[in-house]
Amino acid sequence: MQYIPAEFAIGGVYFPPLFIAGILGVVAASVMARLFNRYRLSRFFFYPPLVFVALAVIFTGLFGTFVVQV
Amino acid sequence: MLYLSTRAKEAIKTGLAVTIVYWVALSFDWLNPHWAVIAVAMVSLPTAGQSLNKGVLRVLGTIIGAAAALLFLALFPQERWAFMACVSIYVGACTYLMTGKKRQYFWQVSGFVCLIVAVAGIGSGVPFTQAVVRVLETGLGIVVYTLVSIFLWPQTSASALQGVSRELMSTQRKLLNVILNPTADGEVKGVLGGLAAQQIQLIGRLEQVLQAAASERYEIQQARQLWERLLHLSTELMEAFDGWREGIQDTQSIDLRESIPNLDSIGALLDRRFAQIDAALEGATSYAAPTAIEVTVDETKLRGRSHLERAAVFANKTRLERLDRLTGCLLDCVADLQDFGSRMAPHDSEPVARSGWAVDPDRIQAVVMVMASFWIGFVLWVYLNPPGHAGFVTLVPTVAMAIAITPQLKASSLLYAFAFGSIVAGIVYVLIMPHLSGFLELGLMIFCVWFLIYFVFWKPQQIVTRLGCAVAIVVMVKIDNEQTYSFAGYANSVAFILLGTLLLIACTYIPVSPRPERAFLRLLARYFRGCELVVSSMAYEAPRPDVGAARWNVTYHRRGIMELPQKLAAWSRFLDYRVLPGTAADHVQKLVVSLQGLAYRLKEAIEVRNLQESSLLRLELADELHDWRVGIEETFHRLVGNVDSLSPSETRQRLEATLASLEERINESLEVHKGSITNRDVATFYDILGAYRGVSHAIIDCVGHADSIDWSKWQEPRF
Repeated sequence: MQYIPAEFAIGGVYFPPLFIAGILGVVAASVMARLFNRYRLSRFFFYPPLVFVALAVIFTGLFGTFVVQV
Repeated sequence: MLYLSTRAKEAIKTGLAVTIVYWVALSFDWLNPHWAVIAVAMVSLPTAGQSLNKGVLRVLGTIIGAAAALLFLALFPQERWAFMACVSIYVGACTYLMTGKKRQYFWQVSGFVCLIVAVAGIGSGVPFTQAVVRVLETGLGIVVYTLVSIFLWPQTSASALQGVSRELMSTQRKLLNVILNPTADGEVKGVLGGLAAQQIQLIGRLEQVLQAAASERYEIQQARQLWERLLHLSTELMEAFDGWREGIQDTQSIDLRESIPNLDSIGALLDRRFAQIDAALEGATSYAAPTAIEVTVDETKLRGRSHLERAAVFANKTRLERLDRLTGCLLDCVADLQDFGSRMAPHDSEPVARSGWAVDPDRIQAVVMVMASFWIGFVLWVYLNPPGHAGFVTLVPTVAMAIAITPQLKASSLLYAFAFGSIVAGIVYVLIMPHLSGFLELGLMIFCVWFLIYFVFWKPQQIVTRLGCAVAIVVMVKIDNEQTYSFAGYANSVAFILLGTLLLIACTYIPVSPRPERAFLRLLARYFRGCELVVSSMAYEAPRPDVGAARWNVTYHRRGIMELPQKLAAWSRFLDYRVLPGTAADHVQKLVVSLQGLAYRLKEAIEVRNLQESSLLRLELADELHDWRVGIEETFHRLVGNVDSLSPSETRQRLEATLASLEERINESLEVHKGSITNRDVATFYDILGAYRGVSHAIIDCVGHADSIDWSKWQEPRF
């Protein structure tokens, strides 16, 4: 049976699943950015703000595929 | 009797004003009552004068912004791209003007009101009504808060004006005594640092208090020009004190009291002038007009000294004469303020230097950031239409403009303020408001909420949190006569605030990184680039740039080197030293102070250069001066590329060697041209020598302080 994406319902309010995946993706990217800063791994990147955007997109995709299932 | 703290009184005043504003707006059934509430939140300041001043600027800005929005809507009724292009250019122009020194708040309000009225006009279909309501409700908010602040526990700025000016004069008097009568070196430095910092704070405070007091009292408004002159003279005196302190370092090997025999009596005379100023500000009704002081140099005591040492003594003589002139003008100004003594003769007054117009790249960066946030928000609205819809075009650029004024403010701090405000708004909107009926209950709830916000977040440093909460509550709760409750609406607003703040954080990286260490390095490179160009413009063989791009370039860099140390000082307060191991806050502060000292030395050198073109000795030693200037230019050029590229010992050796060879050439020239070079020639040439020597020593000082910082960590990429 094919999977059909469903909205998230919080308090009777329906949120699009991509929105939830996006929020989780940004939070995960923030955590990873802090860890990179903490262990000085960020010095290997040329332009960290763009790397942050890329991480957010990657994590959004991962959460959307395996957790939230958009 | 119930005792209330100032904090509680201010919170009560704001809560009361917001409640009254809601009552009036709801009674008359005006659209968008929250606009009046936002006006109250923005003009709620400690004194009535400050609130009135800000309120007037807000009303004027609202009128101009609303008029501009209506004009654009009339010009481009069916062309959204052309319309948005015009609005964005207007907002960009307002952003540039708002980052200047005058009427910042007026331009800021004009910019964001144009956005709000334009977008609200599109949405509602009745733009003129929206514009009129915006002006009306802004006026309502300001009038109500002004009346509340005048009649209920009024705090005025007028009484503070005399107090702040007396405190400033007292601090400058103490500074004068310390720098003219230094005791132990460590003790002097400790006292000097504290007094110098206090002086800067008091000058800033006097400017703010003057603006507020002029709005409160007519007689202060009448004498505003004199108060501004007092402020200007105090600032010039601050520079003169810094110049004297720097100059003293050049004469450490000389007993200045022997070379300038009347130094002590000059110090006593200057101190008596400050005593007269203090008496005048306290209400004395008579004063003795200042007489010019003659600073004499005992040349017999300088026999056997090198020419450069003599030049340093003569440079200090010039600085003392400047102190005399400035304190005399200050006394005259205070006498005029107290309305006794003769008006200043024009030739006795210290002229206000005009520095010309120049584009500031930091202001251009702010414009790019705000316009980028506007266009990204617009594109998101048109093509994606996320929760918040038109809010991406109004709220995001509005907050971006606020960040543009204080670029050191981290946009991520707004996230916490908005999040907290959203939680409070949710509690109020979902749990409390549905149970209220009638304005009595509603008004009580409004008063309690606003009182709590302004009571809890009362400190000046908490203004961002306070305003963030206030705006979030006002936007989400949306009190109106026909009150509706929709959790979906509230949830959409929360989503919009979150997404809008994330967009804002991203936009602050356009066009340059907002990280404090990056900003510091950019400004530092610009500073040394400016120094390099200013020194190259001092070449006697080069034509003077009187017109066109060359003149503009020189003006821009001369202004830059005077203003950049203050910007560097502002950024240095926000550096995170945890991510900069090998850098101490103290080292950075000393570097900034040395950069300010270098700027003053360069300013003196420019003034001397403009006066000394035809000096015979200058012409005789043109090649040596040229080589010296080129060496300094090259030093600055290397510092632009990498602030860590020079070693202090190598720099000192090179510059000292240049000074030594110059000393030899001076002796040769004086021997060869014994009959034709007059004492006046020698004395005027010493001005040039003193200035160049001062610049060299200031560079050595800067390089020494820069060497104590580990710059490699500053340049490391970081999230």
